[in-house]
Amino acid sequence: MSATAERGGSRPPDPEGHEGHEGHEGPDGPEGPAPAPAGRGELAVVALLLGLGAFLTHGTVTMTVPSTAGSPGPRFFPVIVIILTFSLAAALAVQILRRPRAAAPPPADAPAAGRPRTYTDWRAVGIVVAAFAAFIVLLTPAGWLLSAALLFWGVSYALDGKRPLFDTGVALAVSAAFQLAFSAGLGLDLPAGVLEGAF
Amino acid sequence: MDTVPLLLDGFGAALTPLNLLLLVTGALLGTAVGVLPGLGSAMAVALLLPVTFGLDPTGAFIMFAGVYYGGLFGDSTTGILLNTPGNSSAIAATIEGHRMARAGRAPQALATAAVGAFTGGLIATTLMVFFAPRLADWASLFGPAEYFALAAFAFAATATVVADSVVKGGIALAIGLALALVGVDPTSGAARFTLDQAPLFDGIAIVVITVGLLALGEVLHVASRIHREPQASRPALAGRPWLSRQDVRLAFPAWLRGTGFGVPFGVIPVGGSEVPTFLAYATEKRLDRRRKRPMFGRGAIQGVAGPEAAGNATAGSAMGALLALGLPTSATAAIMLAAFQQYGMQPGPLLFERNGDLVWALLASLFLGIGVLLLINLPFAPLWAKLLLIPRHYLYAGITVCCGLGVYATSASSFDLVLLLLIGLLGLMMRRYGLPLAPVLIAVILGPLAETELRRALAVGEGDVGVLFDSGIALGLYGLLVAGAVVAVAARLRRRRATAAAG
Repeated sequence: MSATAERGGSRPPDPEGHEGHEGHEGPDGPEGPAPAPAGRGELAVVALLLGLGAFLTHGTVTMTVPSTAGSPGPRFFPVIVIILTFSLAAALAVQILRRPRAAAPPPADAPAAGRPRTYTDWRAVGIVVAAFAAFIVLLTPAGWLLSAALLFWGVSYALDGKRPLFDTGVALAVSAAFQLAFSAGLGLDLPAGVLEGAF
Repeated sequence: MDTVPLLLDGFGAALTPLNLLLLVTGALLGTAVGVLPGLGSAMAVALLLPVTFGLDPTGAFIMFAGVYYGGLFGDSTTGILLNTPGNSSAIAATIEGHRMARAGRAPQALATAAVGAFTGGLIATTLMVFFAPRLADWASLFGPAEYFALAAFAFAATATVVADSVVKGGIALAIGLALALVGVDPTSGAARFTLDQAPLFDGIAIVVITVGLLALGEVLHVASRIHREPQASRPALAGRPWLSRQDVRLAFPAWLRGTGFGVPFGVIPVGGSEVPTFLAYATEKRLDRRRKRPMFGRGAIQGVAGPEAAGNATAGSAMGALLALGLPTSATAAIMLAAFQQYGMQPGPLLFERNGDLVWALLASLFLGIGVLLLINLPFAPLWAKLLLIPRHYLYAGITVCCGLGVYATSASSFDLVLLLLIGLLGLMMRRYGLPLAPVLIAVILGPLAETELRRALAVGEGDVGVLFDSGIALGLYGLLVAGAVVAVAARLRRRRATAAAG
C-alpha cells in the first residue's frame, strides 16, 4: 500500500487498464507537480535556462536605451532576472549531478520487453504539434471550418482515436458548431476561407 | 457599517435573468472541468477569458465566479468515485472519500463533500465581504516600497511552497518573469526582447500564456503519455445522498475545522489549497485516533468533510485577497487578475472606489454561485461522474480547438497562435520535469508591477536600497514571508508524514 504513497513517484503501467486502487495520486492537474523522472533528462531544463539567460543577456546588452530614461533604467530588472536564471540553472545542475545515478531508474525508462521505450511519446506529441501548426497555416486560406476540423481530427488521432472516418464527421460537426455559436451567438467573425460565400 | 446595503445593491445587479444564466452556465462549466481529471478552474477561466470579451465586465465576472467555485465542487467527485482526483486540491479528500465509496457509501461521501464545499465557501465569502473593504482601506496606505514587498512576498511564497523543490519553484518564477519582460518598457519606452517583431511590442498577451501553459500544455502532456498510462475505469454507482444524523454529527465539526484551516491560507500566496486541505486531513486523522473506534482507513466521513471545506474556504478568502490587495494567491486567482486587467481594472484598494458596482455584484454572485453549485452538485454528483464517459480523444481534441479559437478570437493574429504553440510546448516541458505552473502565472501577472514599483521606490530613494525596508508595512510583509515559509515547511513535512501513514 505504500508503493504509491510518495508523491512524485512514477506510476507503473497497469496492463489491466484500471487505475490502481491503493494510491491517491491524481493526474497532474495544472497546479499539481508532475512526477519528476529521475535520471539526467532534467539537464534539458538546465539547457533551457542557460539558453534563456543567454537570450536575455544578449537582449539586455544590445538594448537601445532612450536618453530620457531615468535611473534605474530599463536594463535594471532584466539584469536581476538574468542573475536569477543563471543561479537557478547552476543550482539545478548541481542537484541533478549530485543525485546518485542508479538510485531510482523510472520504470518507464527501463521498460520490460514489449513496453514503450521512452517516457515521452514523441510520436503523439509530434502529431498534435503538426496538427496545430497546420491549423495556423491553413486558418486564413482554408477557413475556420476546415482547419479547425483538421486540428480536431489530428489531436483525436494522436490520442488514439480508433475510427478515423467517423472522427472526420465528429471533427466537422464540432468545428461547425463552434463557428455557428461564435458568428451567430457572439458576433465574432471567424475566417471563412475557401468556403467564402458557401453559407 | 455600510456593507449590507452595498451587498444588497450587488444582489440587485447580479439578479438579472442574463446574469443568472451566465452564473448557472459558469457553475455547470466549472463543475464539468472540476470533475474531469487534469482540468481545473484555472484552465476553464483561461479558456473563457477570450470568449467573454463580448460580454460586459459584470456579466463576465459573474460567470467567472461560477467557474471559480464550480471547479472546487466538482474536483472531489471523481476522486471519491474512481480515486482519480480532478485536481490537486482534492487529493486529501480523496483518500478517505474513495474508501467510503468502496465501502458502499459513495453517495454519502459525495454529499459530505458538496456540503463541505458549500460550508467552507459560504463562511469564507461572508468573512471576505466584511473584511475585504477594511483590507482595502489598509492597503490604500501602500506606496511603491510596500507594493514591491507584496509582489516579492507573492513570488517567494509561490515559488517555495508549490513545487517539490525550491529550485524548481524558482525556475518557474524566472521563466514567468522573463516572459513578462518582453515588450516596450512602460517607464522608459525602451523596446525589450522584442526581436524587432511589431506584435511583441505590446508584450506577450496574458491570454496566450495562460491558455498555452494550462490548456494546450495539458493536451500535449496527455498526448505524451497516452500510451504510457492506464485509462481510468468507468464509474458505477447508485443510491441517494442522504446523510444520517450520525453522519452529520461527525461531519459538522469537521466542516467548521476545515473552514478554519482554509480561510487564512487563502490570503497567503501558497499556490492554492493543497496545504490547507492536507492540514485539515491530518487534523481530522489525529482527532479520530482518540476515538474508541477510529474510522480513518475505513472511510471516515470527517476525512472528506474537513479537506473539502478547507479547499473552498481557501478559494473564498483568496478572492478577498485578490479584490482588496490585488494579490493573486493561486493560479486561478492569477488568471482572474488577468481578467480584471483585460477590462482595464486593477484590483486593489482603489477597485472598491472606482468599480464598486462591479465588485459588489461580483461578491453577491459568489454567494449565489455557491448556492447554485450546492443545488447542482448535491443531488446530481453521480450524474457528473458520467462526464468521464466522454472519450478522452474527443475531449482533448475539443480543448485544443478551444485554445485555437480563444486566442484567435482575441487577437485575430497568426503570430499569437504561433506563440501559443511555443508556450504550449513550454507547458509540456514544465509538466514533464515537474516544474510548477502557478509561479509562472503569478510572475507574468505581477512581474510588471514588481518592476515598476521597485524602480519607482529606488528612484525616490535615489538608489538607496534602504527605502525598500523603510516602512512598517513592508517590514511586516517580509516578516510574514519568513514566518509563512517556516509554517509551510513544517506543514509540508507533516503532510508527507500524513500521506506516508495514509498510504
